[in-house]
Amino acid sequence: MLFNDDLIELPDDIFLLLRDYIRNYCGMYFDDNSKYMLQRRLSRRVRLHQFKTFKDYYHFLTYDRRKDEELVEVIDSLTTNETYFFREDVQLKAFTDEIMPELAESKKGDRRLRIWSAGCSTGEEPYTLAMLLMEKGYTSRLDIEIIGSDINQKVLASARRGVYKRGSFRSTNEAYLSRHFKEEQGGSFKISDEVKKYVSFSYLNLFDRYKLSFLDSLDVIFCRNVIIYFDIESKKKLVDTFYSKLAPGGYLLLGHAESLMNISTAFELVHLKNDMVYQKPLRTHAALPAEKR
Amino acid sequence: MAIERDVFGMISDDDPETRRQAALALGEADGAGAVGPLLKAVGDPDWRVRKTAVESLLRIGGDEVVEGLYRLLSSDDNAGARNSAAEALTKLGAAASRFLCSKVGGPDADVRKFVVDIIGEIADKDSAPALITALEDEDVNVRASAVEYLGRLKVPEAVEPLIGLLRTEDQWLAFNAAAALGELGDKRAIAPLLEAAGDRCLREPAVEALGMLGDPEAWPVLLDALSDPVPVIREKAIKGLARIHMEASDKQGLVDAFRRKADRDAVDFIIGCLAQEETALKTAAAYILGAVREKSASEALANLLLYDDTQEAAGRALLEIARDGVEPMLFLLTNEEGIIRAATASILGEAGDHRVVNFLIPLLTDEEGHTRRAAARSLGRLGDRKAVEPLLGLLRDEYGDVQDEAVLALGNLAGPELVGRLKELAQDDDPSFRKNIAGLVGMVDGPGAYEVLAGLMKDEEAEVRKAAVEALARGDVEKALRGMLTVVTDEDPEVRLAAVNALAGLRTKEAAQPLMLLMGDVDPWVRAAAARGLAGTGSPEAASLLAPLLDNSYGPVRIAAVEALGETKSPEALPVIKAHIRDSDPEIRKASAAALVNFPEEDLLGELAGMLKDEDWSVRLAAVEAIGRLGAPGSREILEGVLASTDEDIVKKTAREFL
Repeated sequence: MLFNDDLIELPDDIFLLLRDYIRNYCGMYFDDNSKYMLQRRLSRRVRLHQFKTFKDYYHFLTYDRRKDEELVEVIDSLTTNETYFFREDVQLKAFTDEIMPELAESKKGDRRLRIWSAGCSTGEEPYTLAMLLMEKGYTSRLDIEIIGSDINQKVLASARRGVYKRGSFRSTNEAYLSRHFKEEQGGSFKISDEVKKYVSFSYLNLFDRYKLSFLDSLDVIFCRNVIIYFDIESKKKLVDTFYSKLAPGGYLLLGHAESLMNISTAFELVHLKNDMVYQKPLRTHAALPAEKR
Repeated sequence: MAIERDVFGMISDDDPETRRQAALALGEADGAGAVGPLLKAVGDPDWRVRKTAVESLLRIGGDEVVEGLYRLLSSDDNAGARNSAAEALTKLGAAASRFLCSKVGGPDADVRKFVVDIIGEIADKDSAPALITALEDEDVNVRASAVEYLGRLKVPEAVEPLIGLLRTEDQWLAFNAAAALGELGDKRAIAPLLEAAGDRCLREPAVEALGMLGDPEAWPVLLDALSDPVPVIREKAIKGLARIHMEASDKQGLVDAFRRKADRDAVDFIIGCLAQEETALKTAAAYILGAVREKSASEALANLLLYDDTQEAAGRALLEIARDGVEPMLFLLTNEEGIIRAATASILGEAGDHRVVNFLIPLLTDEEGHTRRAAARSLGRLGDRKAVEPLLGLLRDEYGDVQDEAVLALGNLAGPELVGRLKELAQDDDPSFRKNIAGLVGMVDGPGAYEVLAGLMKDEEAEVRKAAVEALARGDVEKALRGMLTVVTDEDPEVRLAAVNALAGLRTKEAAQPLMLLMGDVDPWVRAAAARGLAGTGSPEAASLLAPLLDNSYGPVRIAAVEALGETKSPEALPVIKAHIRDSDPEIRKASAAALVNFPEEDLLGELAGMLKDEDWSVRLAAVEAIGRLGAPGSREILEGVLASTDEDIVKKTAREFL
């Protein structure tokens, strides 16, 4: 390697053990082609602990009392994903112009509407949703609650700060930028408190049933460009979780390259004018006695 | 579980959700009679019901399912049923393939096409004869599918029939046959493909296939193809040329032929490919431009340094060009992109031309840390002492990895005469700077170096003491030993760990005593490192001292003890290791298997073969490695047995390597 001669050798068996370790923890799956990425991103951690080999580092992750803290660092090293405001605008249009009117109409006595942005990275997605709902007037008609979650503590800290560089605004209309952000020194922009108040952030492993138990009766789940990192079994588990967390008639919005093909048949594929989305059927009553399902 | 009668009714309900639930329930029950209704549901108008039925049938499996699904392939009036049946049969794998091989001669051409596609997708090697039979099918679509899948299957018996098809009048088939021969990778195809490359209609697949075969015999034909009027043929030629050059032994001969044949237009086309979307094309173009050292490509190649997927290929190409002279690359050192400046600095250092030193020194104050680091590294490689002073400034850099690089570079550049200067600098107020000075003193060594390090080992900051310990370990053994004895009782475990590693690295009997002391350290990682180190000292007491560590509760200490016991090769150690091949901790079992390799005189195959039944694949892998390393009589048979019986790719691969 011309530019990466400070990499520590990662034997195939240790790669497989590390991969299983990470998969068991959070469902993320690294195929054989990702070995180099894993090696590149974790070599620094190996050196930091004065280990000479990945095998010793694996033992550290397996046995040491600091393994939980280290696992957080591992996940932080492997999951930093770049995102930006108003990403996949066609889907956002389907959300504001088609899904929201239907959901708002269905909220007769109960004004509460809960949206989960699962795998929100540095917060661009939940803040985008908040801005859109404000602009369309939904925030004055409904009690909007947007929950952004991620397994990476560093990106969540950044999301809570709400300060972004120009790269995050590649798809942002200037009007949104001037209305909802304040320019700071060094060319950064800080999201307004008015937007922030609709969004909360949670440090969540999507496979941690205990911590997920507080999320319920959701109306919309955005999980875009996240399930691509999981193997098929983990995808199935995750989509089952989404199903159980959504209220009947609730929507699941995946990334444009993602689908539930070969993952789940529990959702209905709804052809909207702007996009195709998944919906939990309104009729989810047990067609069979519970123990048979 | 018996199936409720209701479920059979529900599968015909008007509501799709009810039908889907019924299909789910039929798959989860093990009662007889589920297959028929589920096969019916495979033809359901709702895709969710069809998908659920397929999943349920896959769960049930068996001949009845395979045969039922095969019958559905004939559902002329229901495309949903046919496609779902094909999907299910493909997922059933070898079991379906075996059945379908007997159906390649069926009466319906559409069904035969499905059959060939499914067999091909399953890709069971045993299906090759059936696919070869399908090459003679009366239906051209069936024949074309068979050709394509035989290419993917990579069985040698397909080569001759496919070569025969190159001469068929059916251009479509011949086209696919040429492509398949490339996939197959058999050298028998070279001559027929060279001939086919002269045929206008077959030129594209033949050029591509010749490239995939990677034989230098195809070089002139691919050079010709660089001037083809069809761009896609030129692109395929570039990929082929790159592959052939990569694998060739006489690379210079190929380069000379390229320079004689390729004109400016051809070279410009290759440079243009660097801006295309496809990564494989970009990296192949970069490779060729590097191989022929095409100076005019420098800027276009530099742009590829910005992207992860092309950085390495572009860097290597630029390095090749720089070997012919660095001048065409100097302008890149002032590029506005830090990544390009850093990569160019690395490349110029690697190229080894000392004239670039004056251009690299200003980069030590570049605004980007990556660039400063790369410049430091290259200056260290180039070894010009005029870089010493600027590099000393970098020891205060804001980034640790830049500082580390400066230490390494200075260690390469400076000599013992620097020690006096470093002694003064060791008094600096900044602990990070003192840490770097310690590392540097260890590298330059020379008179007075020990005294400087001895002083730094008493520093108030643990990071400085640790660096001094590591530095001392690089020098004279006796002095190192003397120094270590002062830090084995340091209050900071990181410092003690550094001391243990340093002592272990000495591999002398004198290190045994302090290592024994450290085997009782409060920090488990210090204990583990001390155990490993003790084995290397050759101390006769090592085995008896290491064995009790296996009673320790901490995994890494136990693993280190097993490894160290193996390294002692002591007869006393063997029974202790053998006692742990069934330990409850798989990491201990693995370490025990590996440790047994140190006793080649003993008959250990029985113990190791027993470990091949371990529930943990990584333990089975460790056993295979140990059996392979021992190479005892009987190892071969055991490894052959592993090859035949295991499912894990990595275990198979390892067994194969030893065989």
